[in-house]
Amino acid sequence: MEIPGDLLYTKEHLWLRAEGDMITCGITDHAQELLDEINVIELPEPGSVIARDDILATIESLKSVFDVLCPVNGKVSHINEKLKEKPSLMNSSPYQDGWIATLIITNKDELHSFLTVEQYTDFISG
Amino acid sequence: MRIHHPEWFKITLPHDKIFYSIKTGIKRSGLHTVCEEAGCPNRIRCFSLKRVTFLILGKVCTRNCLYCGVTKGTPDIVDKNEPVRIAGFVRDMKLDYLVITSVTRDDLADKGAGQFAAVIAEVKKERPGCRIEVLTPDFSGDMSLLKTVLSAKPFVFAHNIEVVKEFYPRLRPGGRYSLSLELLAQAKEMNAITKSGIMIGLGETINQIKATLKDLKHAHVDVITIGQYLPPGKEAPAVRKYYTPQEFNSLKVKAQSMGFRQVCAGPLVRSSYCQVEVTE
Repeated sequence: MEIPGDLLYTKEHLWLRAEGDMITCGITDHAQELLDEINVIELPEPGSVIARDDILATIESLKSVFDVLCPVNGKVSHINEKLKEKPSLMNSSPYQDGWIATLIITNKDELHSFLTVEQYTDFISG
Repeated sequence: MRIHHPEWFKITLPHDKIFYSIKTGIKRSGLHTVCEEAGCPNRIRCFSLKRVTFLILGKVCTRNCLYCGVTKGTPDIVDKNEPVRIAGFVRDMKLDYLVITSVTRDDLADKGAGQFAAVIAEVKKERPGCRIEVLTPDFSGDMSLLKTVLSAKPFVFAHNIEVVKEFYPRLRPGGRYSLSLELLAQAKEMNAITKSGIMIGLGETINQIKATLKDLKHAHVDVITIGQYLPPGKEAPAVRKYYTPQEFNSLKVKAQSMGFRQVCAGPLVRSSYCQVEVTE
């Protein structure tokens, strides 16, 4: 299972890459393994303002549906249009081609609340 | 593409250490679970509650049921240490209820019955208080093999009818509806608590479901489970109907009125998701 060292993580199994007041996010390798084969994703509209813990995207896999809750208060800047055609990119490349959205964050202080790679690794180990 | 599954199939991902200790323990032990092999949507909740269904006798099945996601083909070599390893897991994780199921092993002389008995015996030795439910294949109707399993005294004997009569043999080639009923009836004759499950949503009618329930009642089955079929892959038959929780509840009421000792019905109900209650 891959957990890159240069990203931040949440207990909801999302990863974040922070650059200035922008963050890019997606689901972790561990999350895609648990969800299994992803068949559909419903993405937000660019420009929409989403509160932390509101639904950012909804994923349907073979046998379940999963709401991706927004990790920050922010405004959607870009969405990964490729996922509409090929949602399985979240399975095959969760940290690169399978990114979900980029958001402009309202308050940069929120970035302090996320997990480091060590903390996330510990969180998901038995 | 729009989302197909209704909202009641929404899951949350794990947050607790029990889930991870069970998941890590399974991986470390080299054992297989049907929970993971079938990608069961309940497994996050089940593992967090220390509910595990081990898949014994390898993870390759000699049959080709269309609704099942388990790998088909040339079966694995039987692992003689499997009973000891399962018993060790049950002891270390302090499980109080355990479900053991297997792939169908038509290639073996005893169809795998001896391995079921060995697992039951080992678990009883290592953790005497743990209740063991076995969910077996049909053993091709060889009742002496059923006896082998029941002689080890599992808490519950389960064998799933899986689908309504009309879908045999198309969806369950190699299986026979009457033979599965006979196996359940014989298990009852041998004084087991018996249990059977059916998946719905494959295009059956309500009357066909009711007729199947009636047949299970005639076989003196104690506990039944009714759950929504979900395809294990793109080649599997598509869902023809998503029954609502209300419709499942109506079926539950109907089944209860028929006199079953325990009825579990709901979209996410799976045979081994529903633990048999102790009434004695």
